[in-house]
Amino acid sequence: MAISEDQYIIEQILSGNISAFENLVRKYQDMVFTLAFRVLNHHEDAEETAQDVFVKVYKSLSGFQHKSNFKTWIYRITYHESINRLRSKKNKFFLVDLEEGLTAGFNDTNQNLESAEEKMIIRKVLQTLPETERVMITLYYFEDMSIRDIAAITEMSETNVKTKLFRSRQKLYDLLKDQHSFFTSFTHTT
Amino acid sequence: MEQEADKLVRTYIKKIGVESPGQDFLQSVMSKIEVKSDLAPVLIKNEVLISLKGWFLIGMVVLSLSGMVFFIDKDSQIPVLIQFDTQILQNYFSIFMSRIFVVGMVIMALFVLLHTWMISRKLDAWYLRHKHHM
Repeated sequence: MAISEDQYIIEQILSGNISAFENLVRKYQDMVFTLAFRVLNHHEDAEETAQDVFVKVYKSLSGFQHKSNFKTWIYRITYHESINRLRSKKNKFFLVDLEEGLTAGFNDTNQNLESAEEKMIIRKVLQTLPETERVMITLYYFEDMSIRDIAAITEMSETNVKTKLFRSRQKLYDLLKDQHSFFTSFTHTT
Repeated sequence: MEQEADKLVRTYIKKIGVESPGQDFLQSVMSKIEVKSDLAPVLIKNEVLISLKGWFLIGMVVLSLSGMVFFIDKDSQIPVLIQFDTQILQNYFSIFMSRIFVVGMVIMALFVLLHTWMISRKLDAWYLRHKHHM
């Protein structure tokens, strides 16, 4: 049986090649950060959480038994770390930095304005959903993950995941369809 | 309607893509890992309960015990002297072991050896699994 790229990297790390861990970080840093950011809506917190996730992954790598795939495993750790941080922050009267969440990624000078505005609106719409549903939507529509894998990551039943996805998709659709006609008319006129 | 919703949401979610952490994210993670060197998940291959030297010694003892069986007469007895250096018993007591007894002891030693090997394998596996949680 052919071993996956992740499995090969893990074996390298476990045989003492610590620098091989860089490959895992490079491969998953954006998605781990994105999931943390979807939950926390705060750049620094999401970055700290993502760092904690990688340290945790490194610590428990020898215990990873390939029963699930590595991607599902690391996303599960990310989801739970983010939720735990959010809970501890909420206990300290944490206020979600909504503006920061909306403007994230705007420092890319190559992005044209209309695309940046479009992204900001989509982010704003996405933030109307509860954090768990934001994660589910990201995993389902961006990562193309199965309901089964999402259920494993969030530790919810598949029926529950389906229900939440259906509900959040409807909500997003209602909010986005108006924007959609605006975006398309904007594109046609320019 | 549902398909339309699915298509539209997918398009927009793909459009926003992923967020990126800061430039020094990789360095920060790697420095955290390198500083905490005790966190290393490296499997220590030679860290076993019984070393090669130990196994050699055990092997020699078993071989010499087994060898004894072939060098003694069928009906002979093996004298073993046990000295009781007390005031009450100041004599030498001789204990004689029959050949069958020696054979029995050797078989038992082999069993002990086998069990030691099996237990050490199990303990090694357990140690490697739980090393980082200790």
